[in-house]
Amino acid sequence: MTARQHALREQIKALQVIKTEILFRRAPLQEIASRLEHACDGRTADFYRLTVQTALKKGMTLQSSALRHRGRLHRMGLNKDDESAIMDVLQVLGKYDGAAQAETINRSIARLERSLAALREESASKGRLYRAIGVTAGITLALIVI
Amino acid sequence: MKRIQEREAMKSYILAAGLLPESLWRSAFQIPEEDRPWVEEFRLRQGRPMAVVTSGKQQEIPGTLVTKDDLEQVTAKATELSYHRYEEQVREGFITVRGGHRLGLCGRWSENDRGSVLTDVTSVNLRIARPLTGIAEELGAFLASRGAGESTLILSPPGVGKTTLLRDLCRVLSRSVRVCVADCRCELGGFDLGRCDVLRGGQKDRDIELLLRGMSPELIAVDEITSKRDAEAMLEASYTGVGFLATAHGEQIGDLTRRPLYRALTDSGLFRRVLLLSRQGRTRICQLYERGNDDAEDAWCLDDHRFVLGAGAEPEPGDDGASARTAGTD
Repeated sequence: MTARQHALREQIKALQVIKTEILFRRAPLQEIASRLEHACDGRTADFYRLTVQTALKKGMTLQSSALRHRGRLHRMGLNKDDESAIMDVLQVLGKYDGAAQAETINRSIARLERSLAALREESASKGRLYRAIGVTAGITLALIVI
Repeated sequence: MKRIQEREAMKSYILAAGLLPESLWRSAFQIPEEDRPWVEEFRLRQGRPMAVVTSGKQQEIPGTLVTKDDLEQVTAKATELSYHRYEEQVREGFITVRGGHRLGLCGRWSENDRGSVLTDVTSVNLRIARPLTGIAEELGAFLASRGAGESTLILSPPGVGKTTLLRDLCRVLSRSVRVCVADCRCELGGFDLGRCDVLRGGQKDRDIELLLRGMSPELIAVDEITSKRDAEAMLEASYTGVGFLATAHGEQIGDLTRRPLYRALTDSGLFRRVLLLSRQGRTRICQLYERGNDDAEDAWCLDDHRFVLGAGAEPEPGDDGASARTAGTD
């Protein structure tokens, strides 16, 4: 599995947890961020934890705080389109009512899932190509040796 | 006492100012230090300078300009980036933030499948909560001498200090009777309430019933009677013999007979004692009215006691020669 595939899966998991916590528990964002440590990998959880912490500490909006930590997303292997889906969520997170937040989260999850599906499809087709190349090279080598 | 109150008021001011964005926070500390304990509200309107309300008068701070981003930051700080937790409160018009301060919001209502939602906040009013412990010492002792468990209604226009007085009266009266507080907006708890039992964050009518069932109160304190449901719950509970210490909006004693909601409470005999709170500069004057057994509309009689609450300038000379007592000042 590629780094991007892994990062996308972890982001989807994180967003699903955030949505559930907002809709059903109405939990504060700080608590949700710390809960993510048990729900997804460390790097993804760290991104959300630091974004929330910085925003609370510096008295800035979540979006501005996320921009400071955007580099982390890039280092996880996510591309600009994935980052934009996550930033869309951070633009509304904790700022609007639960339903509006859930709606945006759902849209972003769908975007990330589409990216993940495309990535899987791409790696599957690349796999077939590499297999074909390998077989051809093997046969060629065998003929040369004979 | 006065110095302690000023120190407490200053602490509240600093805490409340902490909710402002950095640029406005700096401006809040341009206000002369001696005036800060008397600031009642910070008012932020998009595209206008920040204003402060002191002793009921509004004054804009020159050189400041409130932006949309500032309003977003205040809301974000007040809700600790978790607006979804305050949806119900916002529907009531304001949210109570840490420290008991009240953030009133104005913007645009929009509908979604879960009801009305306030979006595009265009102005906020940050009302500073002050504990002012001790202001009701003498008034509380006086009321206790006339029956601590008897129902009392505190009546005043918004922003004069009903909640502050209620809070301290609870503390003082809890020495004589079992006082329970139905603190639905979380504005009363968090301060020194003496021996009171506090139920926070619920619905008034349900909390009154729960307190009656579980805590056997002699007096239940509720802030701001605003709905018919609250009044009905209070009336129902009063038949068990429990008294109420409550606040209501009104400028004069006649408002009790004019407004049907309050009229139901007074006509039923639940409230026979009213404290009319008014402002004179930085001082609050509290006048006691009592209702006899006469059911006539003008049956409210001005008692010959009036109390001066809070620290600050002395009140202007009384106009009726009534005896003035000073509470909470030294």
